[in-house]
Amino acid sequence: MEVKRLTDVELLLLLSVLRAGESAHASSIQEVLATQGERTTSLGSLYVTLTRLEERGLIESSKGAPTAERGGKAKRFYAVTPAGLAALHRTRSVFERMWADVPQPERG
Amino acid sequence: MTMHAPPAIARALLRWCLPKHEIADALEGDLQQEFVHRAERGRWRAGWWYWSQVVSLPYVRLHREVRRLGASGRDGISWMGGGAVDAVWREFRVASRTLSRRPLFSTVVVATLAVSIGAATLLYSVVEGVLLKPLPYEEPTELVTAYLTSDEWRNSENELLRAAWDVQPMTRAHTEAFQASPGPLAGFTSYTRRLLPFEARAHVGEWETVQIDASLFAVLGVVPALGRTPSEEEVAQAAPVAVLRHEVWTGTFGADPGVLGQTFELDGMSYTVIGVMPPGFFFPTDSGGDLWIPLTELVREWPSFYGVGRLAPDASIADATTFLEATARRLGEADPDRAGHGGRAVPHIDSVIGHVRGGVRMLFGSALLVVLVACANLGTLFLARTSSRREELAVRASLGAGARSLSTAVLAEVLVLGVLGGGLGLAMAAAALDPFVESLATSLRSLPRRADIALDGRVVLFTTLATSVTVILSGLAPLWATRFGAGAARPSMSRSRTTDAATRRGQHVLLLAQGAMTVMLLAAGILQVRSLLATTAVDLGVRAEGVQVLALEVDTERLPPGPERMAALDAVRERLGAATGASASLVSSLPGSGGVLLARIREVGADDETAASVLSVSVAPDYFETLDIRLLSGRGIVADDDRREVLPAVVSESLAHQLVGSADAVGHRAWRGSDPEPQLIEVVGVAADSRQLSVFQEPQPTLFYPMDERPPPALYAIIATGSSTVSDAAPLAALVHDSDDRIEVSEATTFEQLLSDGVRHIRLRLVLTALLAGLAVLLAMIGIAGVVAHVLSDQRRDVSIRMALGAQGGREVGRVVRTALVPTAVGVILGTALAALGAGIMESMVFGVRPSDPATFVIALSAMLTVAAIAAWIPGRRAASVDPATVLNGS
Repeated sequence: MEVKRLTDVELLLLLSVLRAGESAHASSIQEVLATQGERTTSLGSLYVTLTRLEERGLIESSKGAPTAERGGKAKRFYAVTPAGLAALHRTRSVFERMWADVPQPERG
Repeated sequence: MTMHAPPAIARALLRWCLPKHEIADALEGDLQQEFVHRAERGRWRAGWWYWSQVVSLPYVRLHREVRRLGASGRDGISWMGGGAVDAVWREFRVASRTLSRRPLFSTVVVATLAVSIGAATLLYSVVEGVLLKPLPYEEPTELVTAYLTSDEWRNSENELLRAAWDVQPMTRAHTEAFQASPGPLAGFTSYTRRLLPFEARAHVGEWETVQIDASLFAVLGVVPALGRTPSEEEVAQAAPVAVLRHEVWTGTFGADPGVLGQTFELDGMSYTVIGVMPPGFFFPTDSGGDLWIPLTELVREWPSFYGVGRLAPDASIADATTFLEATARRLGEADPDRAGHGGRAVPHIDSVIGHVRGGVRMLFGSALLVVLVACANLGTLFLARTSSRREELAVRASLGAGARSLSTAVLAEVLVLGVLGGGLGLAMAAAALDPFVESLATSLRSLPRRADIALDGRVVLFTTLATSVTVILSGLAPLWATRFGAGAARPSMSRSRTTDAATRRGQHVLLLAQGAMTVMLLAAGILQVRSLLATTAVDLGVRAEGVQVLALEVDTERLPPGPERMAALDAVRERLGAATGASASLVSSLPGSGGVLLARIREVGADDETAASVLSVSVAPDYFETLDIRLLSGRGIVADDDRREVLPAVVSESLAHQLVGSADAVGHRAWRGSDPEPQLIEVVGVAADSRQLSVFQEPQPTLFYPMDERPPPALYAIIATGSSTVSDAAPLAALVHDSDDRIEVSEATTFEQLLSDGVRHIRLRLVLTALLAGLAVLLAMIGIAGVVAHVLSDQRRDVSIRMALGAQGGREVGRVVRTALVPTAVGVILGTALAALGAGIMESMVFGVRPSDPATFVIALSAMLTVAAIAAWIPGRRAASVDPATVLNGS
C-alpha cells in the first residue's frame, strides 16, 4: 500500500495519539502534544487533522458514552491503526536515512 | 454543585456551523467539558473563552475533512455543496479584511444598518404581538363582537354620547333573541363584567368577574387546562362556581394543583373553583377578566351585556351586522322599551386592539420609511465605494476574473456588513424592548396584549428579512454600476478618474428617493410638534397659572359622609384661604383632567326619557373666583347653598342654551337625577364654558352644584396663591394635616403641572416620531455628504487643475455641491407633495392642527433643504480650502 508521506503535524499527532494511551481523546491528545511535542494547537485544528488521518486509515475512532458534563455529547476515542504504525515507522526510517550524514554545526 | 451551560447563542451558532457528524458532536462535547471546568473558576471568563472558540474554529476545513471521510465510505453528511462553501467562505474572509482596512466606511454602514434595523425590529415586535398574533381562541378570525346601536345617542348634542353610539351594550332580551335565531352566526354567547370584592387564601382585593352564558367557552373553542367550565344547569341556577384565569391560579392560588373544589369568598358568597384556563388565555381583553362565573341573578336584568358570536362558514361580518340589525329592530317593534336600537358586528380582535391599531401602524410605517432611507443611504455609500474601487476591480477583471466573481466580491462585502449591522440591530432591539414597550404604552394611553410582545422567532425572521432586503436593495446599486462587460473591463490608466455616468445616475436616483422619504418623516414629526404646541395654546376657559392643587382623601371610617365631613372640609378650606390670603375652594374634579360625573337633567314634570346627560361638578364656595371662570350672569356657589330647599346651581353657557335657548337661564328650574327621587334645582348663575373633560375635548354642557352633606371622599383643594412652583404646595399640605388629621393630602402640586401630565402621551408620541424623523434626517445628511465627498475626491485633480489655471475654487466646489443638491431637492419636493396627499392618515394622531395644514409642509420642505445644503457644504468647504499645488504634487 502506497502511503503518502506524513507531514510534520501529522507525525507529531500520530505520536501523541500513541502516547496518550488507551483512552486517547482530543483533549488528552492536545495535552500530550503541548507538553511533550512542544506544539500548541487549537481544538478545531486538532479535529481537522484527526479526521484527515482517520480518512487515510492511519487512526480509527470509537464513540464513548455521552455525559451530562459534555452536554449529552459522546466522547470520541482515537487509536493508531496498524497502517498508521507502519506509516510512522516508514517515516522514521526515511528520517534516519536522511539524518545519517548531517554534520554537527561547527563551533567558532 | 451546579452545572454551568455554555452561552446558548454561541452553542446554537456552533451547532449551525459545524458539519452534522459524530466527530463534530465530539468536538462540541470537548468544548462544553472544557467550558464546565473553566466555569468553576469564573463564569464570565469561561463564557468569553467559549465564544472565542466558537468564532475561531476552522469550519471550512472541518467540513472538508468530514466530507472526505464520508466519501471514503463512512457516515459523514455534509450540509452544503462541496466547493461552494470554500469559495463563499473565502470571499467572506477577503471582504472582512478589506472592510477592516476602511474603518470609517464600515462603521458608518454598520451603524446605519443597526440603528434602522433595530428601530424597525422594535416596532415590528409590537405589530407582531399586538396586531398579528392570533387571539388565544379557536379560529379567532371567525369571532365577532356584537353591539347595539342607539339612534338617540347618534343624534345627540353631547359629543361623549355621540362617540359611543355604536358600541352600546344590550339587554338579556337581545342576547336571547340573537341566540334563538342563529342566522349567519354559528354560535352566539354573551357576557357582562363586574368588579367584585374577593377573599381567597388570605388575599383580599377586587377581581374583575366576567359573568357568562354556558356557551361562552364552546363559542370560543377553548377548554380549560384544569377541570371544567360551568354547565348549562349551573348557569341557569346561577351556581357559585368559578373558572380561574391562569395568572390568578398561579398568583393568588400559588399554582396549587389541588385547587379544584376549593372555595373562596366573592362578594360575600362562597364560590367553588371548577376550572383553570390555560396560560395565555384571556377574555374579553387581556387587561380585563380575572375569573369567569355564571351570570349572577343581580346582573340578569341589567342592560349591560356584550355579545360574542362565531361566523358560520361563508358568512361575512356584513351578514352578521344585517342579522343583528334586523333582529334588534324587530325586538324594538314588539317592545317600545327596546325601540330605537339597531345591532352591529365587528371582528372580535377590533374590540381588543382596535383603538391602538392606527397608532401602532403609523409608528411601524415610520420605522419602515427609516429603513428605506437607510437603504438609499447605504446605496449611495456602496456606490461611492465601488466606484472608488473601480481600478482594483478592473485590474482583477483584466487578470481574468469573471464578471460573476467580481459581483461576488462586491456582494460579499455587502453581506458581511449586513450580518454585522443586522445582528447589532437585533441586539439593540432586544436591549431596548422593555423600556420601549413601557413608553409606547404611555404614548398610546394604553397598550393591549403587552404580554404578547416579545423578540420571538417571527420577529427575528422579520429582522433577517428586513436586513436582507436592505442589503440586497442597497447592494444592487453598486452591482448595477459595475456591469463589467468584456468591453468595459479595461483598467483605466488615466490618473484622473471621473465618476462614470452610471454611477452618477445611480447616486441621483438614490439621493432623490432619500430626500423624498426623509421629508415625509420630517413632516410627520413636525405635525406632532405642532400638536403639542396646540395643547399648550388651548383655552381651557379657566385660570391655570398660579393655582396650587392639593388632592385630598378623606378617612371614610373616622369621617363618614354627613354634615361632619362637610364641616371638616369647610374648615380646611377656610384655613387655607386665611393662611394664604388667597381665594381657596374645593372641587370634585379638576377641569381638563377627566373623572367628571354625568348627571341627568330634564324639565320639571317631564318624562325621564327626555333627560339629557350633562357633566356634573360639585364645588365649594369661591370656586369660580379661584379658577377665574367668568360668570356671565347671576352669582357663583356661596356658603350655605347646600342647605336650601331648592338646590342652587350654576350652569355653563352651553347648558344654559340647551335649557332655555339663550344664555339667560337664571331663575330657571329643572330636575336633576332619575326617578323615583329627582332633585329640584334652580339656576342662580351662568358661567362661561370651560373644558372640564380634557384639554382635547371641546367644552361640554356642565352643571355646577354645591357640595352637599355627602361630599366625595376624594376631592381637590384649589388655592390661587399666584405661585406656579410645585414645591410651594408642600407647606399648604402641612397646613391641612395640622388642621385635621382625618383628611390626608395624597398629592400636592400645581394645576399647570397636572395639566402637563395630562398631555404626557402626546409628548411621548412626539419623542418617538421625532426620534425616527431625526434618524432619517441624520442618515440623509450622511448620504449627501458622502456623495459630495466622493465626487470631490474623484475629481480632485480636475478641480485642482482648473483652480491652478485660475478658476475660482468656490465655483468649482459649488458645481459639485449642486450635483448632489439638485436631485435631493427634487426628491424633497416630491416627498412633500406625497406627504401632503397622504396627510389624512395622521388624522387620529394629531390635535389642534389640521394634518393637511400647509404650514407643516412648508416648514418640512425648507428645513430639509437647509439641512441638505449644510450636509453638502461641509465636505465642499474642505475641498475648496485645499491648495491646488498640494493636490497636483501629491498625486
